[in-house]
Amino acid sequence: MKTINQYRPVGRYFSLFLITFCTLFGVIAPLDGQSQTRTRLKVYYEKLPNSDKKISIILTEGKGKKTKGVGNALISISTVALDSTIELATITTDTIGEAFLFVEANYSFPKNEDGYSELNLNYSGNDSLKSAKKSIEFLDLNLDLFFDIVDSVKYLEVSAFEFDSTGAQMPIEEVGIKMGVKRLYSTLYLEEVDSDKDGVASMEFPNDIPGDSVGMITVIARVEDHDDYGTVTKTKTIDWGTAVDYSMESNGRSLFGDSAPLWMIISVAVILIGAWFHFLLAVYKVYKMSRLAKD
Amino acid sequence: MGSNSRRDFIKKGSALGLIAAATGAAGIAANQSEKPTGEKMKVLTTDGKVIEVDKPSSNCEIEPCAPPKGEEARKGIPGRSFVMVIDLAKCKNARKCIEGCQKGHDLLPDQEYMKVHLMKDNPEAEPYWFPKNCFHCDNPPCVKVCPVGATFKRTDNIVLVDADACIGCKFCVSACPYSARIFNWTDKESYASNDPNYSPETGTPGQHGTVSKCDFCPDRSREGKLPYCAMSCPMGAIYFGDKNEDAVYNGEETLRFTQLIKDRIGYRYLEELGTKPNVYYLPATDRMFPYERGFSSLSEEQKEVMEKSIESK
Amino acid sequence: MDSNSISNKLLDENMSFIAKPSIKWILKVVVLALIVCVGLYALFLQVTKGHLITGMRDNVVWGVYIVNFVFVLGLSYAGALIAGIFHLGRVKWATPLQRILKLITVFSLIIGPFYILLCLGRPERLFDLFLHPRIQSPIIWDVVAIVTDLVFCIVYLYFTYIKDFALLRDNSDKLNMPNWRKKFYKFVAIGYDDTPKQKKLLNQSLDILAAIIIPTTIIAYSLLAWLFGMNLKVGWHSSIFAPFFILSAVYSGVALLILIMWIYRRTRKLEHIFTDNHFKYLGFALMGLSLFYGYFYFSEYITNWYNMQKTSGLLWEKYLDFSEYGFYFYGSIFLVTLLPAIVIGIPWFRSVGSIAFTSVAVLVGLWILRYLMIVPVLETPYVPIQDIRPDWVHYSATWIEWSLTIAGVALFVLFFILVAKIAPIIPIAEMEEDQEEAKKIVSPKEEV
Repeated sequence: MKTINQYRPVGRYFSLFLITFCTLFGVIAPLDGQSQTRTRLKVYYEKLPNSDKKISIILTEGKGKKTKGVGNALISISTVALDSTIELATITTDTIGEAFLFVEANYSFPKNEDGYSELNLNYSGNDSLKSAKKSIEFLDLNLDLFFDIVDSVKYLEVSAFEFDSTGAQMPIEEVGIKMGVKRLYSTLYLEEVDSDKDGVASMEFPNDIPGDSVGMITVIARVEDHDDYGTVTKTKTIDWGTAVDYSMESNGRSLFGDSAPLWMIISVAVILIGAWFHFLLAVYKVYKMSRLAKD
Repeated sequence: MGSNSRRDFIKKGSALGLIAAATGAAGIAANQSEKPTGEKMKVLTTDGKVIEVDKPSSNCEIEPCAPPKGEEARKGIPGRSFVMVIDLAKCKNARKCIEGCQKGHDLLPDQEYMKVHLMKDNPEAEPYWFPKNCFHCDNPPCVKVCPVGATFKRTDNIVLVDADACIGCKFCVSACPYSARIFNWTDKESYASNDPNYSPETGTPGQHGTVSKCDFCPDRSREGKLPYCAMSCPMGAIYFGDKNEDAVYNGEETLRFTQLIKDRIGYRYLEELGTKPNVYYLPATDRMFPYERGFSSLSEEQKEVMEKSIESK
Repeated sequence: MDSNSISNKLLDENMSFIAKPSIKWILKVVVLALIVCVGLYALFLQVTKGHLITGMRDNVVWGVYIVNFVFVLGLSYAGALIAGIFHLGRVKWATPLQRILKLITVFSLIIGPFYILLCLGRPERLFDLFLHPRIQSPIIWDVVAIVTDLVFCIVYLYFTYIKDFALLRDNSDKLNMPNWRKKFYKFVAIGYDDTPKQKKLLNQSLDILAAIIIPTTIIAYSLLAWLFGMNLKVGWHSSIFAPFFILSAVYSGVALLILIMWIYRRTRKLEHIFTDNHFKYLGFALMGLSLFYGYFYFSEYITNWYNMQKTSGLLWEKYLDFSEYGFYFYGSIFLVTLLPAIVIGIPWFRSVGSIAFTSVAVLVGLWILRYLMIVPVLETPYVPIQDIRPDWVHYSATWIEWSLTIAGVALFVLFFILVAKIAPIIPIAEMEEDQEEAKKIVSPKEEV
């Protein structure tokens, strides 16, 4: 961090901003001449289809286009239960500044006073990098998929709910739920529907989605980057796709295949046999001639 | 950090997550069946302890995940029908597709599997940027003329070159009406002959004196990843997918292939040649940028050459 | 074999081959060998350093090499075709030309394929062409055709030598041959004694070979034309290519024949064998072929020009533009289609010397036209070339390619010089047979 004096040419409004900035975050630049770069923590909470959770963390330094990941940095993760803090894990970022913590499905995060689960991340910094903190709060949302056929029209229904303290399901309304099918590279989303007051979002499922050889498809319901619930995904497999003939088609006899068209082989063979036969006949005649030598 | 890299980051996370999903209720910790990479990942168990488990080698979407060699590489991934859609309205000649591809395939700076041309369809029309790779034709002129079968058409639409078999006659280079093929004119340190790890699917290491070209990155598809070019495009102009699944993906959105081609009147370049390409173009109508913006990533010399080549004569 | 007066006369006139090599001869061989060695050095550089030291690049993937390949093989196929037709047609006046034609055939058939090998990025994998051939590829068609043709033509050449070898064997004492020559002729004559039965068998064999070599060469050169015709390229993808190639081959073959005849006539004083009449007949053939060539050229190009497609238009611009290929285009068209008609067609210009000069002009013109048929087409793909590297846009051959081209010519001459040491360059025995039949030497002393 440079001293404020060095910023003079920029103007005093900027200096003022810097002072305010530093004070607000309680960071006082060490004035020993060594500069420290600002760092930033980002964290994403995701609930995976099998109810495992994944905490994705990324630590970066610098601003704008110069942003880059901070590798090999220790980040401590803690959670809050009512008023006590529980240290969960310490995790090291990889070379590009990313780190992932997987949480088994049956682990339940403690809840804070507001009823949210809370994660606090802390990076303590070093000589050249400033420290960084980040905290997120989230609730545990569950999704379930149902398939229904009414008058030969297929309906995909997704219910969104939380468990209350007694273990009973509480429907969650007005959550945008994206519904789609799994493809090789990504999910093909068909529709996004908000859940109704029963926590149910439903859509008419198209009849022309290609599935595997027997028409099986993996249907995906997903809540994405929700303020309270983070990202939640649920999948189920059903035979609602159209069966696609995946049998290997070989190129057969073709100009670009491994084996040539028959007419080509036949023509080449006829020409070559014809030519070489006559050639050998000519050679044979000369051979016979040489056997007639006088001596 | 651009939106692009954030997208990759989130996706990477998901990819790992799906492995965890595959292992089922037994828990992530039990997942030791995959070949370990030596890398570890941290897992918080049910009783609140943190343990380290081996990270699975890769996220395998299609078995076998390792790019096949020899005869196996000539067959193609069963049931797949790879297809690319390039939205010309989105291309601003950022050249990130070229860079991503060159990095991924260990190419020299002047070797481009993907090229971006400046095109002008008629004297009145506005010019537009035209990214062009190998079209992996269903009626490939290059494969027809190969004397030794070093280049071949697979059942998954992909046309590949086996550098171990190529004799370097360059007939395929001249046979391709799309100038998609390049010859390895110079020797390079990383080039190797008969490298035991060589697979035509990755095309690396390259070999001096052989022909190479865009390979549609089937090695990445096996891991459920987009080809380098599609992944690198900051505009999401390059969609890639499996026609059998009727879906194409550009890293941001997934669209139905048939619908996209139908709605946007997708076309194939020089359709009249009868080569049946597997790369489709969406016309450069309602473009998002003036074409001149694409010149910013080019040298003055390159700009002149391009402008001269589209001059109407 | 009886030593009658005709063969004695012919032998006496052509005995220089048996003499000890003169200093001049050795000098010639050494100079030619040195030129070949420069070519070999260029080849060594190309193999060790890679193709980047040639002018070839991604658009023009084949340059002068393929031009030479097409040109030299054209000479070869022409030689075989003309020799075969003369032989089966029993064209008596052409008998003295037979050996030269067959030597042209075999030498260029040996040299030509080297040029396609020079285009290979991986020459050490050449044998994969025989181990894993794909019959759908025009290159394999060519490989099969060239190998077949080479075997046929070498054997044919040898069979036509047998009678002469026997003649030399029988005259070995008279000619004071060294012992090794005696043994050699005895071996290669394989017991031919000119008995009626032997003669009949040998003549039958020669007839059969001539008869199969004619279609073989037509097929082989058509296949070579299709090496280009099968490309989806404007300028190549044309159904006229195969007959056009054959016509240009015959044209260049006749021109080369005239040139070689003229050289022998000048250096060996063979005016009574390669007579003025030979020059006149072949000169007229050359003129006729030039008109045919002009006809083919015109019909190929007017079709493209009349309704010009976009890429075709770009190609035409390059042909006609004097800053690109205009000079070569108009120049070679003049040399190939008009010059023979002027020089040979107008009696005042017609002479042995001018006919020989026209032949050289035709050979040069045909080579340039092959170049124009190949290089500008490769420089004009459908997708515009937007490269800033000038050598990637315009092909220009480097010294590597030129020295290998010259080395090919030198090797061709060297072959002729060396083979002329084994036996006379004219088929003595055959001429003798003809003369016995006609009872007079075909050598009318008309004014040319």
